[in-house]
Amino acid sequence: MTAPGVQHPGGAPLLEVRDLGVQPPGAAAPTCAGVSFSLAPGERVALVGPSGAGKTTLLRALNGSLPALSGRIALAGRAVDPRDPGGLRALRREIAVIPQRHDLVEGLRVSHNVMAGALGRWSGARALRFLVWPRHDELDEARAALDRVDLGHLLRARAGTLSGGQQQRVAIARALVQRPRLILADEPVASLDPEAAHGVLRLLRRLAEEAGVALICSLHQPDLAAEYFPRTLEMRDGRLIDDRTVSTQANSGATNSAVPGSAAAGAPSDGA
Amino acid sequence: MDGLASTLGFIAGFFPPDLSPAYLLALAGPVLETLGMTFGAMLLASVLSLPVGLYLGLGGPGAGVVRAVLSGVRAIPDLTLAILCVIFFGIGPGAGLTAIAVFYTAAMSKNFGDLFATAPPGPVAALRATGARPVAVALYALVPLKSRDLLTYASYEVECALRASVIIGAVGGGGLGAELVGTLNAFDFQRSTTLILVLIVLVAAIDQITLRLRARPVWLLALVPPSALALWLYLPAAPGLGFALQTVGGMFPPQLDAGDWAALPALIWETVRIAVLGTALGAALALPMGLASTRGLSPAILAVPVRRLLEALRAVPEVVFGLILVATAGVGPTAGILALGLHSGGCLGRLFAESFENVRPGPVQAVAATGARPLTVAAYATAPLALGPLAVHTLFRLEWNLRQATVVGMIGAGGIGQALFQAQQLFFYQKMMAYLLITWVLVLLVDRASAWTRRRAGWMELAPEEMAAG
Repeated sequence: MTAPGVQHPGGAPLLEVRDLGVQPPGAAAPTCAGVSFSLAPGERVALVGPSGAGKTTLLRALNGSLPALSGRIALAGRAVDPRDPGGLRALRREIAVIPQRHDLVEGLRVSHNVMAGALGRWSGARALRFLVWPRHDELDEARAALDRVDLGHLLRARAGTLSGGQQQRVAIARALVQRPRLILADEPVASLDPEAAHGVLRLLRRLAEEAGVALICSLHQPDLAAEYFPRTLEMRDGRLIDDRTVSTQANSGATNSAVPGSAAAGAPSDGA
Repeated sequence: MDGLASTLGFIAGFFPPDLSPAYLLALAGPVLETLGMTFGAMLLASVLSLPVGLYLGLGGPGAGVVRAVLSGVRAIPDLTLAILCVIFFGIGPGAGLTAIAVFYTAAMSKNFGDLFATAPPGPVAALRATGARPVAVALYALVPLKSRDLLTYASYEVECALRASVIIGAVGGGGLGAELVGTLNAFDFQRSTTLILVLIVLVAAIDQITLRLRARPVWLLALVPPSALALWLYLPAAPGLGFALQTVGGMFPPQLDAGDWAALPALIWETVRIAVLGTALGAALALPMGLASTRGLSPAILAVPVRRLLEALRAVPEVVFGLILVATAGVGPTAGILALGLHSGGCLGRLFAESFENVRPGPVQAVAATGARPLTVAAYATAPLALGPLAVHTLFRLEWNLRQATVVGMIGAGGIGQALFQAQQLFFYQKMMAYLLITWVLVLLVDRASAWTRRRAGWMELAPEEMAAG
């Protein structure tokens, strides 16, 4: 099940999730259970469902922030195990996260916040040197990433002085600098008015297409999911209840592979 | 090399501590005296400061004046108060108890007033609207609304008072401090070590007890009967007061001769230097130790021993470090700088670690999610996020150390405090009073400057234990 136009030789999936169960610390029961799906390289997927459906839990498990209770996750064929620190860091280099609350470090300049995306591939010494003594080519890379979100002029500003919308775009630039294979965006339009929401989703779609990066984006609104994403995963009560691919983006109504909502474990409908 | 060898020789002289049962048994007396002084004084201070705090909280007529007077008393270093009390009431726990009671009455009244002023306005206004008298408003709204805060805050103060009552012994206030000075003067250093260990254990025990009390502050009231007994035993008798007034008369007018005036700027500069360098040393020690003891950043195998070390440094007051350093390294400002630095390192180390632990988790997780190493995460998220609190804590410690620099001076660590103590020892009371007033004005100026800076920078939040006195 790949979106039209997405090429992946041999059809090997980028991400494979099998029968995943996750129970966040402090939760009485798993908030994500029996979830299975796979994702092709460069594919864009919306993850929809009401609050508490388990979308955030799933995203956090995907980048190894939460350990899996059962089942398995594999990125490009490699299994994800949060208990192995080196393996976890290697995984996280490949997956960029755009957090819901942007989560910039206010005291640092925008340039440092953006280049934080490169920390996974930089040595510790280089990371410390960049804090006090950034080189021109590094700043150029930061500016280039910021230009793609139209914030090149704010390179030197302190992150704390930015508006919420600007902070979000800096968080997006940070994800670009990471040069990931997959971007996880957690409710990027949750607190935005409709016009701004369209702007952010258009930006994410364009950037993901340009860079050939796969994107999973959790959303509240099914209509936005249908408009911007060829494929939609729907969650409810911790389970995947629907996985549909829209034949054309403009056609928001028709689905060509809809699984009726059910309580059955997992909703397998993928190309694996 | 020689200096290092002799320093190591001195340190070796403190070991092993004298842990013979006979000596430990003999220490029961001084320990009880110190505890009695602390709890008796705190009972008196609580009883006196509750009505004053309520008066301030309700904004009665002249509240501003009362507040200014309290700030003034609070700015007199506790050791200075103790010296005055020893002059008035003679050597012994009575003098120590009075000094602590006066200092903490001023401190607690002011902070109780601040607590009452922040009571939720709704219930208070509702009660006032019924036409209730201020006393009724206090009893039916302010005290119940704030009782938990009051008890929590008082439990912090008990800890501080215990440390204060130990050091007050150093100038004649009795208890463990008097015993410590005795062993140092007799070059009986192994027993000095024993006393420091006893002090660390005592502070740790009080720490644990007050920690549990803060979960259930009502149990604090169980301390009232023994405290009342101690108060009854130690409170100086009324005849002492007549003598005290007479002695105070002899201190006026304060006077310095021409030579003293000429030497004054150098003395003040030395005190400021002790405070600034002591704070810098403390912060320099605290940064690596704070990072090493931060939960979630540092492995337990490193964090736990460092945390114990910080506790030990905190448990030994500046003056006790000062007494030891003056006895071993000699009289002078170096002893003062080291004394302030070691204790500040312990206090700041814990506060730094807490600041690192309390940063917003979101940005830290966001940086960690890029696959960055733990040290890089600390440099790009934890440290920049904690910079504000770190600066607040260090600034507050500097303010505190400016006060303490005069105090350690009084036991021979240089600066204006040393001049004050010498004048007292030689019975030059007019000169002593002059130095006391100068010290007091200095501390008041520092208080004002620090409060102004914090207000400007928007750094108003302090941990309760910092509010409680350091």
